[in-house]
Amino acid sequence: MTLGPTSPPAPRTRTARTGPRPTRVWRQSLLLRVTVTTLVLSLIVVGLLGLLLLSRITTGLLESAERTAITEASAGLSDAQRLSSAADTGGSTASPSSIVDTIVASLATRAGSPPQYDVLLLADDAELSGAPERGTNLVSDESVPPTLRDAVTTSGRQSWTYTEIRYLDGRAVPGIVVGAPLSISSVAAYELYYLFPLTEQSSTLDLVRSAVVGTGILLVLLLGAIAVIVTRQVVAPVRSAARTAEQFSEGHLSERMQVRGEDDLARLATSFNEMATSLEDQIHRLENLSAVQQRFVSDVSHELRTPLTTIRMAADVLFESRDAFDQPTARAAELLQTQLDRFENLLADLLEISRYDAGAAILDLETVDLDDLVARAVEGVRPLADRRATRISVETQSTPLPVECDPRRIERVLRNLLDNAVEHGEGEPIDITLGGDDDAVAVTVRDHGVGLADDQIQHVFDRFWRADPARARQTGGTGLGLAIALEDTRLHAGMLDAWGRPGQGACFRLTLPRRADVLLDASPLPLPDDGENHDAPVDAVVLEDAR
Amino acid sequence: MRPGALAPLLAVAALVAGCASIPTSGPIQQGPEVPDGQADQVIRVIVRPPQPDMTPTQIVSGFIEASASFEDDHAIARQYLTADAATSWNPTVGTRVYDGVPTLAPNGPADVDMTATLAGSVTADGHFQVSPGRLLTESFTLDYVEGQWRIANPPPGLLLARSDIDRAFRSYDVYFLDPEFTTLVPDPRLIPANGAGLATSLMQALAAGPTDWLAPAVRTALPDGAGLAVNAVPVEEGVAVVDLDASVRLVNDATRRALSAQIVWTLRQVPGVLAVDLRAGGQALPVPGATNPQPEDTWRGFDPNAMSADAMAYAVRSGRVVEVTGPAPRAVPGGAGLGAPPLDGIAVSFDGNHIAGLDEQGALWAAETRAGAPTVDLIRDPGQSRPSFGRGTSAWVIDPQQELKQVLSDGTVFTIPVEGLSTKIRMESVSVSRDGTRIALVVRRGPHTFVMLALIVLREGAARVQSPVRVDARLTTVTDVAWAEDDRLIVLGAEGAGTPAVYEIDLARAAVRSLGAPPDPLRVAAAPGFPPLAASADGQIYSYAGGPWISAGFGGSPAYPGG
Repeated sequence: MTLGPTSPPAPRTRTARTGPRPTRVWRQSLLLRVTVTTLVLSLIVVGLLGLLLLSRITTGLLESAERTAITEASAGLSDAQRLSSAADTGGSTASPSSIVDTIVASLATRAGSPPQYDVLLLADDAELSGAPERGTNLVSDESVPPTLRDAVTTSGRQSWTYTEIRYLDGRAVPGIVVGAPLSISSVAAYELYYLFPLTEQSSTLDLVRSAVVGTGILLVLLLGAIAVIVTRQVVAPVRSAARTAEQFSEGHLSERMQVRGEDDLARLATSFNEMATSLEDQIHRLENLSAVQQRFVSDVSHELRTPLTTIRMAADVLFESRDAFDQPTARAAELLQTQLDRFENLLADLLEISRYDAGAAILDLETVDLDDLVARAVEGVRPLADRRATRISVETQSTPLPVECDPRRIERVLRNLLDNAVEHGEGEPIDITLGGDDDAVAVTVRDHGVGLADDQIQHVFDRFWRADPARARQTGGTGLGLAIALEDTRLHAGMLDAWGRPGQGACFRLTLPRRADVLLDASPLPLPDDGENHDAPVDAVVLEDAR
Repeated sequence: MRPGALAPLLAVAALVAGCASIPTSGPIQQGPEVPDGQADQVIRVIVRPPQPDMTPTQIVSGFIEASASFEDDHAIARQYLTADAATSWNPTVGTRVYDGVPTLAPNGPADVDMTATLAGSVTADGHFQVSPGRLLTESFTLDYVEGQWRIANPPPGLLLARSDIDRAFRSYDVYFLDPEFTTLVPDPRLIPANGAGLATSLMQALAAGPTDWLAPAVRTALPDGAGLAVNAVPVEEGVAVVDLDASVRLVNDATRRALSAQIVWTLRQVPGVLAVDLRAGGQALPVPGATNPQPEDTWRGFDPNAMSADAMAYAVRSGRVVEVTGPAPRAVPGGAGLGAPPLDGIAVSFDGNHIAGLDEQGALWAAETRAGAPTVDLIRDPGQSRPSFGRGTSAWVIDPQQELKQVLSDGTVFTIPVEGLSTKIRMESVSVSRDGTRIALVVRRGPHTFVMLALIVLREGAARVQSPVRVDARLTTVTDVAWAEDDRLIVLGAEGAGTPAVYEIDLARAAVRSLGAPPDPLRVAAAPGFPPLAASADGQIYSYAGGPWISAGFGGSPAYPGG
């Protein structure tokens, strides 16, 4: 596939480039997607695992603390019961305060030093009985929730709950409080409360929590890094394959992927390379075939010219002496003359086309005024138009429209368009509009004849294509006019667009850059119904075709 | 992955697994120094504010109970008072202590009389003094304030039960010096257990000087008027920082040593204190023979409970004085060991070189414990009490004329005046403390015998005994007394009509503890670091080591040096 030196740059994957930048980066980078997905998923998994771990450890710690607390409180309770019954049976005259003191002192001794827990000995109804109450150290009797006191007094059994242990110096720590009724018969009915602060468990939990959080963060980061590394291992060859494929598609047919190792990517590369080789072979074969065909056309055309010249000369003789012939013979000589003209034109067009196909067309640039070219082209078709009683109106701009082009070719383009318009114009007026801006100039040729359907527009520039194969050719067109016009336009890096509606006529627009360094993306003149979307596919078709 | 890469990975995995398991071996590691005597737990009284519509009696009862709670400067007790009384009531001027449960009786609509057995009192500076046999009566007048009864005339100071004292106060010794600056003398104080800054309290007490009772007998090395430059004693990492007035720099080396001993011995009772950083006016006070900070065991020589290394127990066997060193007692050298004359009721001097005893008629004899030393009679008159040496080499006895005699080893006899003793009281025996500042007397008043403690005061070169006080309220039949430590007495006596037993009396809080007794105990002996000994009527000496009394061999009249 050979590309002409004037072919406009291909607007590649236009739709994929739309959208804000982050979204684009997200969509285009597999590495980013895999890494972010890995990070998010591993964060969720690690978070869940951390929560599970923490809750298990918390439960374990608390269960152990509960067991210790209940065991210790039970032992203390039996100790206190023994002491209180000893005080009962002792028969001594010890005051209630000293009995209570003795019991609490004994319990306090069990707590060790520094004490592992605090003890509260509260009377069931201290306000009424005035029974002495005791606590160890600084623990406040507000640490015991009233609900627990109710539970202890009503159930008469050991009960426990979690609470906030408050101290007189203002400290408050979470803890377990275990309560049980204790009857000191010589004094009053009491409740014995053991208060176990959970500061150690809490600090252990803090330690574990910080460890879990730290490990989790580290783990997530490591997983992210691993995802980056692994994805890069996969993505790098894929990217290189994509690059190779892009180069290949841009015509560098010798481009091949590097094959490393024996893994899946290596297999992909091998397959790609095989495919590329196969494609290259096919394309070369097709190129050769195309070249042979072009050569053939060119050769045939040349070879036909010599005998044609001889035939022409003979035909001219016959034509000039037609008056001497009888009527049928004279008519045959006239017919021969006309068909020879068509044959010559066809041969010339074929030679021109074959020159394009061979890439041998050369631009002969000079700066001319578009009005002059249009005027010359109109003059050229004037006889034909007069025959068809077709009026041609030219709407030009007040300022001249200089353009750098090959005037011979552009005039031919305009002639082709006008011929076409007159031929299909059904005698209706033809409107020529000229326009231009800083970068480009444009001409539209509008007829109001039979018009073109959407599917016809797609083929209007095809070689030897006819809208109605049954229609007789009146002007002796070769069927190559629009094809040559398109080739000429391409040679100028211009645009040639077609618009049409059945019954409403057709419109062709030629847009040319004013200078060779201008890249066209729009035309100074609109096509009819430009506001509607009907021409969009046309435009797209032309663009596609132009590519 | 190559198989070769597996080995280091496995090694790392094994290492990590090792870190995560509990080790079963490891290097020997040293822990921090554990201070002796952790702070024991405080038992707190939970008291309730007055409830609506309490009767006057209930209000008084509630007030007395609430007084035992020291939180917030007795805030709850003050709620039982009228507004005026709550602001004017000063609980810190001293504490009266009662035994048992007080009796409250309404006396008119707005008056309540309280009656209880007075056990003693705690002065504002923390000295506990027993007052046996007295009654504590207090009359409360109540006002009707906003529909509620409130006490209008709370007595100054606190009214606490004996059990409150045991619970809410801790006893600590503040150390002073004997007049010669040779040994420390404890001055026991009761300090509220929940009070913050024990080191500060003790140093403030030391700077304020000895209690009124002990003051005539002791001296302090702190110069007059000198106190703490910084009125706090912070304890950091086992070091208590004591910053004294700059004027302390003027004192001589001996006084500095004595002062250091006072401070270190006082502060080493504070849990966690291992050394004392002594400063004067902000700068370290150099003390000869001591590093700064001074470790807690710097001043062993001032130990009031120190006994000489070769101290041992003595006893009398068949009239001979023997050393009780094991299964085979050995007679002391000299006349005392020969039993000429046979002695009983012996005493041994603090240095172990002199022995004094009574013969069968009660005349006082003495002998040195060296070979060939004769037994000399110091007082020929019969009927002397059992002698006691105390710190020096002079024996103290009571003669039949109720005169206290101090007999020097050369036979010189001083009559020591005894001041402050009621004429109804007869002295029966004496025991001088090993620091030489106090004397324990067994006295008789009517049918009862009990222990009194008096001071030995040196004034203008002459000694006198003054300020005798009761040390307990329980023992009513006391026959013998001995000093176990500088603040603990061992007493042979009985409660009321009970059988005689050996008791230990803690002088700080007048706490009496029974140690049990061997059968028919006659005499006791005690010394710091030695088990108490008791002579029994069965002719054996028994020893007490925490369990039952066990026999230490035949003999009588046990004695320790300095007893």
